[in-house]
Amino acid sequence: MSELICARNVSKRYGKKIALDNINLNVSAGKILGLIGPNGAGKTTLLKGILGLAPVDGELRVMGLNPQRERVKLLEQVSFIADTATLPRWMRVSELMSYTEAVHPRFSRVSCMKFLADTNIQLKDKVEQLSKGMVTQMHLALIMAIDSQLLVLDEPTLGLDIIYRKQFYENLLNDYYDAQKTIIITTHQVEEIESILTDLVFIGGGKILLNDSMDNIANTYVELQVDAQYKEHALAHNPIHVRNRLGGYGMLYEGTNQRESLAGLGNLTTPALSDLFVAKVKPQLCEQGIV
Amino acid sequence: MAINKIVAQFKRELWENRISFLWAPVIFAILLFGASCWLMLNHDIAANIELARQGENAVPLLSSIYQVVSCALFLLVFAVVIAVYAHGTLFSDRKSREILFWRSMPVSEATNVLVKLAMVCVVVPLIIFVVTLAGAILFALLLGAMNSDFEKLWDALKALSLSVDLLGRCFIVALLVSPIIVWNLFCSALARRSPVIISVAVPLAVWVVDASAQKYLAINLFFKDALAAYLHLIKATIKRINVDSGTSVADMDLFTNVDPRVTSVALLISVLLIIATIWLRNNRYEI
Repeated sequence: MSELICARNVSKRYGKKIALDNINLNVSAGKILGLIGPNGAGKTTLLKGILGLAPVDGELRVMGLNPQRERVKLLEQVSFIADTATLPRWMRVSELMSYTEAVHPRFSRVSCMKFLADTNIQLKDKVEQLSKGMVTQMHLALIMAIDSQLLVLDEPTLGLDIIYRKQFYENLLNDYYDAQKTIIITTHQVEEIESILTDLVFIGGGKILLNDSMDNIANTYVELQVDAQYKEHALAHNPIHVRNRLGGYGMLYEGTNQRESLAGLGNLTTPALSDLFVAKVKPQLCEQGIV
Repeated sequence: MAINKIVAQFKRELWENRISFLWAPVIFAILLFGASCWLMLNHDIAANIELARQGENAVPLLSSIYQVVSCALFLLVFAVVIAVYAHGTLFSDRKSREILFWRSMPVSEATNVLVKLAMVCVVVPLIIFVVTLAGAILFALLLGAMNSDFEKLWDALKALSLSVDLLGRCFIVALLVSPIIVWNLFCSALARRSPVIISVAVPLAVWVVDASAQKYLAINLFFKDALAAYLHLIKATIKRINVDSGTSVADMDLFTNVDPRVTSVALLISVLLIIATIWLRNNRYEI
């Protein structure tokens, strides 16, 4: 499968602060990649580098193009929503569609109208008349009506009610995604996207902490639900994370070679992404040292 | 596709500034026409001014005066509109974060900036031309109706060709002040708080430093002299196109007294500022 995004030793500094620290990342076509990280981890900076919105050091190619120097050509194949982007408040919905249709070779007015049909947005409405959620709906309708090879969504569902959030992810999978498209999503609502991701990247402190497919993650990481009486036995297997639960502990382990020995101590499950995320981003300190 | 993008950018500018560039000129033209009608119908202008002695030429002369006055007034009004537009157009979308939406579209910042410059130098003169012509047509019809003479009406309509000549003069004025417009666009792209303060304070500060250096240190930084030469160029050219109103712009000799060094430096600075503005939009667009 051809690499859509190829990042080698990508770094970015803002003064003394290191936003990205020698990032190496390959993203193939046809993936749905979740880019998860705490605030200030470097997610948005990495996306900006990929989209040509900010210059970065190192080697970065997106669809074979240099995002900074060939931004316009890249954007004919890529569509994105930045987390703090705002639609122009003075514009009408009809004007937004006309403008996008005129400048974007892959925009489909019919598709946009289809996505808008599920909302209360009218063509004559001005953006300033729409609620925050409706502005997000409008923006998503515009972006999803573009038949691009790469779709980048930075916190796409902020401000949306749960019904539309679920509908959005359904539309994303059913109406938008196909084997040739790639989607990168960043969100703090990890549990919402868990079921649709094919690949996962954790980023923290400007570094990549985890970069793997969801299938491999399910095989590599295991969570043990252990009662308090078996705590010391479980700790002896060096979990990467320990959390309290009612009547016992949840301990997260990395590596496939411990499953048999752990099975006798309690219940083994696949860890939730949020727990894995906490384990990777914030290793715990306990009496014995860093877990 | 490239033409579609450029047309879309122009449409975007007109949609965003429809009040300044569309509604205000129409309303001003209506008010101007209304005022002219009131003057014509309530005051015996022909009896009180020298025009009455023109006899047969009074009607086309009145039509010409209407067009010239209308054009001059529009230029004055649009000077303010353009100053506000040029200072705000590359700043307001950064302040409101709309720029991230615009930058998600496959339109280069070079296209964006050049279209904004063209709005001032090309579109605004065309708007002035259209509203002046529309007002002049109505005024010509009024003159024809007042005289009840088809020949007088035809004379008034023939005088409308002056509007085309006035359009040429508007383009010349726009070209003359384009370095100032480009400077304002640059400040708009650079500013984090107030483009107006940068665009006024920086030249003023440099002027003061140069004047002081010349007076107290006998050092000439040439900024004061260059600015004076540029302002003299504008003044002389505008005087030339206003004084010789009987000559068509195409026949006018505008270049005899023009200092080629001043025009070359002004052009060079404009080009460099445009390049710098485009660079700022690509690399320093976030506030």
